[in-house]
Amino acid sequence: MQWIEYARQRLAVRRRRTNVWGALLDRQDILVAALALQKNGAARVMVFERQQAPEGLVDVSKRDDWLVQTLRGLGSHLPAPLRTMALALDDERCRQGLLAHGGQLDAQQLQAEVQLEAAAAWGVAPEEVGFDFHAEANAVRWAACLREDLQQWRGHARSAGWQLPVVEPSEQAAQRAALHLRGDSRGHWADSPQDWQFSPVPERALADVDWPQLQAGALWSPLVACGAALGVLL
Amino acid sequence: MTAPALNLLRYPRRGPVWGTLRWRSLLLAGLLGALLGGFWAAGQHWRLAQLRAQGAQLQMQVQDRLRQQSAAAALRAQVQLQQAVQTRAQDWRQQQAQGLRLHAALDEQSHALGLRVMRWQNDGQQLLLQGWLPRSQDVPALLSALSAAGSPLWTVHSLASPAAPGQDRREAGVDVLLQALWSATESAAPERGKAGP
Repeated sequence: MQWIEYARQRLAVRRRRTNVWGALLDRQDILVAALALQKNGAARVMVFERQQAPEGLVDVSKRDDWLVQTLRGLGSHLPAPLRTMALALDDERCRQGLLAHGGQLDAQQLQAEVQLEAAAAWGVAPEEVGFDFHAEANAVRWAACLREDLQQWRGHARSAGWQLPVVEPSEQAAQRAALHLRGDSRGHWADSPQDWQFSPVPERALADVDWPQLQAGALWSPLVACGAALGVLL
Repeated sequence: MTAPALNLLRYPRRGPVWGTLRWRSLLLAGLLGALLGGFWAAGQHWRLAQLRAQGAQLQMQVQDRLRQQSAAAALRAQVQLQQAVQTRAQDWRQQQAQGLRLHAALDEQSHALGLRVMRWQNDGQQLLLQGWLPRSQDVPALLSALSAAGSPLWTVHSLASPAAPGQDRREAGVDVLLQALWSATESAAPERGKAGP
């Protein structure tokens, strides 16, 4: 129903968040960054932490317990409305692709095609993937992860008192952060992430960034965590 | 970045067609439910009104029945009271007639036999008559005369000679104490009283 979506968007605008956390979930650690919206519209990094899981924690349930405890500890000093976190997934947990189409499919057919494509990429049933897509000229760019993982992360976040409104690919979050990061030199970027500030509008174009080099460097993970939070703030 | 951001929480979600169908189904079910509920409520309301009218009618019938029972009970009590009054009056009349006859007989025997009535007692169950006769052989005649007057059967309770040693009496005679028992019918409403000579 379009009016429900409209009302939801209106409510979302009224409840615009000023503090958002972003996280990059890895197997043995979680990288989190908290961004706060400034009066001038820029976002500033308030917290940047890497929480390392204890060594030898191989059991999945124990690792989940550790993750819940970590999230609960991160948000223990925050009021409930400020406990909002966006999660970015690396390539191991999120698969992406391009689906070519002739432009003759309607939205429903396109969604079904993408779901089938994502399920085939994961090798699971169509109802077992969570996905999103946007159409380009003659192709559809999609990203998908396992729905079981999504429900698990949402369950962890909910049990720790966090809202989880966004789960996105890490590339998307890193691109957002890199385009909005203030400072015109790579040397400036190399400063501590706690000193980063992000402008409300892009500072540069996609072509201005050497993405392979950036992804291979140490700034990638901080950019992902900050970009995830920035996606909810902007 | 011009492309919209991907959010893996967005899909899968219910399609608009399914949603429309669902909403239409829900709306239809709601309307149907409201319609059925309205019919049911109207039926219950009508049924309730009918039951209330029936209850009021029954209540009126109960009140009428109670009034009739009360009137019948009052009538029965009145009839019983009238019967009791009639019985009592009849007893009174009978005893009054017997009393009159007895007085007449006593008056007659006082002239015929010289009877003097000393004491006459009626306690409702028996009559006691104490008198004096000049001649003791007139006692059976007195008994038969009193019995013939319609009073209960008289018997002699005691006879005594009034002449005592040292007592000066010019007339001989006998003191007689007579007794008569009221019959069962007559004793239902006894007359209690005393009368002297």
